Order: sequence, then structure tokens, then C-alpha cells
Amino acid sequence: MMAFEEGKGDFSEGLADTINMNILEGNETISLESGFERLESIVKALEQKDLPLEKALEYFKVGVALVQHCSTVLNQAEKQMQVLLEDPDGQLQYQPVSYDVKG
Amino acid sequence: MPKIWSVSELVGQIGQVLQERKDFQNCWISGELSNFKNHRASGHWYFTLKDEFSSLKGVMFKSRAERVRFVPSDGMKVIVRGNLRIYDREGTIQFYAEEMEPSGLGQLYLAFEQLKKKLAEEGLFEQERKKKIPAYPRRIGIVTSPTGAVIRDIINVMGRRHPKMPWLLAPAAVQGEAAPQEIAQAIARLNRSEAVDVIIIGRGGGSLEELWAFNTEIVARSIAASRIPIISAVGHETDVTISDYVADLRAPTPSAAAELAVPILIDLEFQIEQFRARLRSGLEAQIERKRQHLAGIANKGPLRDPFWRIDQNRQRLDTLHMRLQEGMTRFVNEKNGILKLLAAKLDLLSPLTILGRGYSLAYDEEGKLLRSAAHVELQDQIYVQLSEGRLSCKVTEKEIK
Repeated sequence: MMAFEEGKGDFSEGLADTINMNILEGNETISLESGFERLESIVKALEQKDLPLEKALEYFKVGVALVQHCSTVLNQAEKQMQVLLEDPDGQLQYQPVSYDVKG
Repeated sequence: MPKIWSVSELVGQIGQVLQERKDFQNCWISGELSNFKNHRASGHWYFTLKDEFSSLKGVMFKSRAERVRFVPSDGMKVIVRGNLRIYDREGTIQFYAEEMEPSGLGQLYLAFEQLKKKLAEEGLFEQERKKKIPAYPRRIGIVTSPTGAVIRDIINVMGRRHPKMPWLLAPAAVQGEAAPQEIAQAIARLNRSEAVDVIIIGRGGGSLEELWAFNTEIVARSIAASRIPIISAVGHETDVTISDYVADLRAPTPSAAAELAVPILIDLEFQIEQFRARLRSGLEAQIERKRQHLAGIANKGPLRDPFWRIDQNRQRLDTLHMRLQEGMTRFVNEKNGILKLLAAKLDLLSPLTILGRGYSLAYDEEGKLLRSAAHVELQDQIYVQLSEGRLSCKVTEKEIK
């Protein structure tokens, strides 16, 4: 996983307010959805705002890390087919299943 | 004296009494159709509803009749919703129909309408309740029969759009006695698992009876209670169930539900590529902006022409220098003029000039100018200055005036 912790805390001011610069929130992985959202705001800021150079570079760095992350999320997605059942005692059970379907 | 009614008065009163009976308004009647006539010119339907013992005339106006989804005919058992009114002109009580269904389905239909009304009043169909279908779900949940065509349809569509999309099937019978319970449990199970971002509930087309599970309250409530957004895809496009109303999104078919739920993988990849490109060009734009800003500064003032200030100072110095010279010249010229004037004046006052006119000056031995005879003694040596030359004289006589 990528560790991109540098931005933490340092970006609580100014333009960074609107953009969450930490690509990892705690231990929770960023979903594709929020990854895309953050990328959108970073890219918009880069495209529209006149940023101090260091900030622009920081945005770029975080953006690239997010792109990397989203791309990894996509690439790591693995077709997984499961059936969700329930034990008599109420425990959830995941069972692999396969379907022959023509593409 | 008993009241004597006019006919229209009495008929009018009967009409009013009928209208005041709330259970005669918007009520349901079941019976057999006879004398059914579709009046071609107006499009209204005229018929008689009857059972073993009685009959009642009925009318269904064109605007309502157009919505009836079957073709009525004599002998058909039907269930009709409408209002009981009097037809003043003939003094006959007629049933003004709003809705008509074949009787076999009538019970189900009635139940459907009643549940729909009840849940609508509870606000279960409100648009504000609808959860947003996630654009990029990590895993799709499916509630349907594990053996039906629906699961295959969905898997086919998913395979085409996003071959890597993981999915989790919560199997449930979709028709029969156990179906409502199983569907509700499957939805609850997926919610408990928290493993999916969106749920598709579906079954293929069928008769109203076959789709019935999706018109039950237990299924409706389990959909409403789901924290995970649900897409309902029951039957064909024309079949609308209660589940469709409660769900966050209605899809006309299970395949369409999969289209709505599953993003296209190459679109996502393209989107990421787009972000990558925009990041790069965004940063380049930032740098270019700085570059232009810098160029703007460099093109202005002293940075553009470093000798400009020196040249300017030099020019100023030259100007001052010239002014100094001019000033000096003028000063000297002015003074010269004054000098000449003074010289002329001085010349007029010069004693030599006076002597030239025949006057002379007398001095004593010490060279002091003599102004009075009292200042000299007899035999003193004095000097007389003439216009030309000087005399040395001896005082031989003196007289003080």
C-alpha cells in the first residue's frame, strides 16, 4: 500500500481546506469513489487556481499517488463469485460458486 | 298534510343521499358483465353488472376506459371501482366506474392497491428517501433465485461491462409461498454482511400472481429498511410492483439493473488516465503561469533595461549643467550692464572732471584737502591740483570769511 503521510496536518490552511490531502485515512483504504472525487478537486485546483508552487507540487504529488492508488484498486479487483448463506445459528457463510455463462 | 315532491326534487334528493354515503363513493363491486357496449362515437362504455339476484347499470367514461388493460365482454367476472350516482334523466341508480379488473386478479389487484396506498401514505415511496446508487461499487449484491435466468442475465451483463466486478448472491425463491420471507431475509443478510455497495433484486417476467412476492409488505419493508441502495428489477418493463416503488431505483429488466449498477471497466481506466493527464497538464499550467508572471516582472521597469535609471540620471545632470551655464552667463551679463552704468555715473562725479571745468583743489602739506582758510597759517606750504598739473604755493595772505 502506498504510504503518503507527509501531507498530514500541514494542509489544514488555505486551499487545502477543501481537499483531503491524505490518501490514507487511518487504516481505511480509499474507495474508488472518494479517490475519484479527490482527484477531481485536486485537478480542478491545479487547472483553475493560481497556487503557490510548493502547493501545486504537493497537489501534484498527492494526485499522482491517488491515480496510482485508484489504478491499483482497479487492477487488484478480482472477479469473485460468492453465495451468501446463513447457518442455523445465524452466522453468515460465504461460499464460492461458479456459473457458466457465455460472454 | 304530507309533502308532495316534484319528481326532479325527489330524484335530486336521492342523488344527494347517495353522495353522502361515503361507502358508496370510491367503492369496489364485483359482478358479471352483461349488455356491454362500447359506444363508438363517444368512447364511453355502458354495461350492466349483475349477480344471481340483482343487477346494476354501469358507465365508464372514455378517459377511464382507455386505461383498462383488458377487453371486457359479456359474461366476464369483473371487479370495478367507482362511485354510485343517480342518473337524473331516468331516475336510475348507476355505477360510474373509474377502474375495472378481471375478477380473478381482482383480489390481488385490490391488495396491491391497498398496500400501495398504505405505504405511499407512510412516505415509503418519497423521492427524498431514495439512496444514491454508488457510481463505483466495490461489489454487487444480488437477490434472486440461484437457478433462474435472472442471475445469468446479470452475470452476462457484468462480464461484458466489468469482467473483474466481484459479486455476492443472496439466494431467495422469487415465487411461491416462501418467496416473500426469503427475499426479505436475503436483503437483511446482505445488509448484515456489509460486503456489497449496491443490491439488485430481480426476477423475470410473469403473471401478477407469479410476481406477487414483490408486492408483499414484508418485502417492501425490507427494501425500505436496507441501508444499502437497492435496484429493483422485477418482471418486464410494463410490470410495476410495490418493490419497484420502494426501491432506490427501478430498472425495467434485470439486465438493465446490471447496466445501472456496474460501471464499465474501460471507462474507469480511461477516467484514471484522464486524471493522470490532467494532473500533468495542470501542474504544467501552474508552472507556465509562474513563468509568465516572471516574464511579466522581467519585462517591466528596471529589470528590462538596467541602464535606464543611469541614463535618466545622466540626462538630468546634463539639463542641470546647461541651466547652470545659462544662469551664470545671464548673471555675468547683468552685472556687466550695471558696471557700465556705474562707471558712467562715477565718471560724472570724478573730481578730475570738475577740475576740467576750471576748478582746482588745495591740499595741505600732509595731503589733506583744504576746505577753510582757517586751517592754514601764513607761510605754510600748500599744493594746488589743477586739471593739468600741480602747483606748490606759499600762503602770503589769508582772509577768513
